Amino acid sequence: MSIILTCMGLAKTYGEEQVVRGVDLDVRAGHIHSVIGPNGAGKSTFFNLISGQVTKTAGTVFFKGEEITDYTPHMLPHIGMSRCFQRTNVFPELTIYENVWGAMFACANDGPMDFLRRPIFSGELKDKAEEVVESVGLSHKLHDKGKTLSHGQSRMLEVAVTLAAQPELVLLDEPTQGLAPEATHEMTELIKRLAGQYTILLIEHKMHIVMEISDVISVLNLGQKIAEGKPADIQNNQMVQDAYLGRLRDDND
Amino acid sequence: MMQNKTLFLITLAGVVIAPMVFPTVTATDMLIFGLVAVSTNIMVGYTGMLSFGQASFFGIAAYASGLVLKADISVFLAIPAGVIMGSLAAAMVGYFCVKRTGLYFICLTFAFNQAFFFLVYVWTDVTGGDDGLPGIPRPDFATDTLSFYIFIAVLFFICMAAMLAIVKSPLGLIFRMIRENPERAEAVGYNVRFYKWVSFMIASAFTSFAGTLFPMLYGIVPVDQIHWLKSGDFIFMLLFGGSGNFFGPLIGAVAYIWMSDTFSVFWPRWPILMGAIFMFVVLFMRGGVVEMIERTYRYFRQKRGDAKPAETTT
Repeated sequence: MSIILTCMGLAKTYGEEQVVRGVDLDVRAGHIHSVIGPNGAGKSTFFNLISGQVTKTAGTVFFKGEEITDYTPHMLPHIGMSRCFQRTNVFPELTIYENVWGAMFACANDGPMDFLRRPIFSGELKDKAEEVVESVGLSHKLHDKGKTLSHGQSRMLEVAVTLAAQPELVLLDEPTQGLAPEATHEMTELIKRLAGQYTILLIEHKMHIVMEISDVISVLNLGQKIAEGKPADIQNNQMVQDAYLGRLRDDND
Repeated sequence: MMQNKTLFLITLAGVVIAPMVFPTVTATDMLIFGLVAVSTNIMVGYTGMLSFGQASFFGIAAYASGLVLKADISVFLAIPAGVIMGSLAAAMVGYFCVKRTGLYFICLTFAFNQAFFFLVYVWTDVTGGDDGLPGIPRPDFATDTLSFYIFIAVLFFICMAAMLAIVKSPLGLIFRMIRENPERAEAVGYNVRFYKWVSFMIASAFTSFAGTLFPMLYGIVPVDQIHWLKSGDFIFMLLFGGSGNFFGPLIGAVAYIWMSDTFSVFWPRWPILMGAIFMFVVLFMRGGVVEMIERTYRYFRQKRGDAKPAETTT
């Protein structure tokens, strides 16, 4: 399989503090590639560097062979990369449908005056938007406002808004954060279903999920990549256990 | 809540009744500033950008249209001339202002407004400076107050329909996404700064349109029409009426014009009253008159005991 995303030497320094110290990463098309590491390892910053939310101190990023190092966030969905956020980050006063349709329209915008002419509640995009809402199981809430959702439903909407751009690569930043076991299970099932259609780069804290669904796992610690490999290799890697796994098992699992 | 169609019909009825209730000139004034309030709301209420500089574009358009009319050229050239001048100014000002957000954005719009005011103030050869620009004729077909009112009313509805169409289009949805969550709007693929600029220009273009009509009403452009205090009045109108609803700002404009016409006659300090009302609105009635009506409506429905909680409109 071909490599869809390449990061070389990505680094971020805030003043004296080196949050991410030169991380190299290759993501293969079709994989679920997980990034794990203890709190403060720089995972979210690493994501923000890829998606342009945070300016890079050093390093380059290639997506489908094209250098995207200096792309601003709004350009990425147009070339097929879309992300969700760790903190739920949707549009609270808009309906679920508007959330998804609006996100979808960003990349379907066709010609300079399309944003005045395109009908919002009919046509091809309507079907696609409803499909995406259905795929995350929120159809019954279609015309309710974003702020009326429970936390678990908001996380689902977060994923739906991310998928609306019809990307090839999806960056998911802790999609199960703060979810009850039942909702966590639903989210895991959703990610498994998505795996067939998208390449997924995933940050996740819950170890059993990561081990279950990942094709490749990269481990970050103190801003550096300390290991990479298949789930079984990572579980048996002494360095990883020292840095992370043992401690986490005691804490959460 | 009511559909936009219903509200549009209510507005139509209001426009027909207004000259019977108020003096015709006052009613015309209400239409012109109604347009200003509704257009400013596209930017303030829908996109979440508070501008204290909209009088710049109102004033520039008023002067441009006034000068064309004074030269005895057709009103159908005066209006486009004013709209183009106002929109060009807005494109320039907006380009710089949308680079900043929040307080800095407000300060920038305010600063540009001041700059335009002093430009007009010192450029006496063209603008008449402190004395204003007098002697502006009305178009031949609308010299008496009533036919002029009808002329303005027709233009008013064309603009209202155009603005409603914009707000209901995907562009309007993009504006609301930016208001709700600019970071996420950027992440799903919208160039937020560009769309803020578009919002700024659309709002200012319609404000300019209203500005081109103003000189014909009183036959003069007083210099205070471009003063930043006027920008503040626009904000007052739309907050008083309610920025959450497309038609809400109209209520604010009508109330403002009515108050200034009624109280200013016998009480020169009437702005004190305005200030008090403004404080009341901001403290207790964040959604303006529209929210007050909705709350009352909901209260009575619940009292009758037949209702599930009413939804609020956007």
